Amino acid sequence: MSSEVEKGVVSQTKSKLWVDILIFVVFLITMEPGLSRLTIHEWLSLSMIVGMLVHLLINWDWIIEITRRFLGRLGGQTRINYILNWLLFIDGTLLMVSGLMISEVAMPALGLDFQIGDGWSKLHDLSANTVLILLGLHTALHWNWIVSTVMRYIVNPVLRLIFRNKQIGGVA
Amino acid sequence: MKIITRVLIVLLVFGLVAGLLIAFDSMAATLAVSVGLIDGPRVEHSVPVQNQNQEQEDTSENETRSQPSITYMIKRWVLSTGKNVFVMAVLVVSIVFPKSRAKRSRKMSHQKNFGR
Repeated sequence: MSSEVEKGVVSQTKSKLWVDILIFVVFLITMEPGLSRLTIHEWLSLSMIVGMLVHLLINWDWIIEITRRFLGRLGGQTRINYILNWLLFIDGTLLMVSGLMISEVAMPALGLDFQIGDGWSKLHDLSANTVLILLGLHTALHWNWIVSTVMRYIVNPVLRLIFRNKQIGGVA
Repeated sequence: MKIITRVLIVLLVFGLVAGLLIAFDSMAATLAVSVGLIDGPRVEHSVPVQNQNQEQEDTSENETRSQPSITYMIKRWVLSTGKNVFVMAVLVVSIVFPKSRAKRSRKMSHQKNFGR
C-alpha cells in the first residue's frame, strides 16, 4: 500500500471514529428530552440527520458492496449486520418522523404545525426505546473495531503524550 | 457531484420510508376509527381569548416557580443517561463475551490439533 493511500485510510478511519463519537453523545443528550429541554432536544435531533448522512457517506462503499452481494455468498455476521443496519435506518426514520409530527418548538418555528393525536407520541417513545436496543446491538457487532480504533487514535496517543512529558520532566 | 448524488439517494430512501410509515399510520388510524377501536379526531371548542391569556400567565408562573435546581437536573441527567448506557453495555457484553470465548476455544482446539 502506498503511503498516500495509507494516509487516506487513516484519515477516513479517524473521521469515522469522531463522527460516531459525536452521534453517540448527541444521541445520549437527546434521549432525555425532559432534562435537555425541548428546544435543545428538537434542534439537536434534527441536526442528527446531518450526522447520520455523514456516517452513511463514510460507509458508502461497504453499503453498496453488501447490497450487491446480499443474495449471493456472504458471511453470517455481515448479513446480520446489514439487516440490523436497515432496521436501525427504518426505526431512526420512524423516530424522526414521529418527532417531527409531535414537535412543539422546531416545526412551529419553521411555520409547520401538525395537529395530531397522541398516537405519534407513543410511537415516538416506542421507536426511541427500539433505537436504543438496536444501537446496543450495532455497537456489539462493531465492538472489535471500536476498541482497536479508540486504542490506536485516542488512548495510545494520550499515553504517549503523558509518558513523553514525564520523561522530559525527569530529564529536566 | 458524487457526494451530492449519494446524499440525494439517502434522502430519497429516507423520504420513501417516511412516506410509507405515514401512509401505514393513517391507514391503520382510519381502519381503527371505522371499526370503532378508537374515537375520531376531537373537535376542539374555542376558548375565549381573555381566559387563554390568563391560563398562559398561570402556567408561566408555575413554570418559574417549580423550576428544579441545576444540580438536581444534572444528577437526573447523569442517572438517566447512565441507565441508557447500561442497557447498551448489557447488550454489548451479552454478545461480545460469548463470541470472544467461542473464538478462544476454537483457537485452543485448533492449536491442540495442530500440536498433535
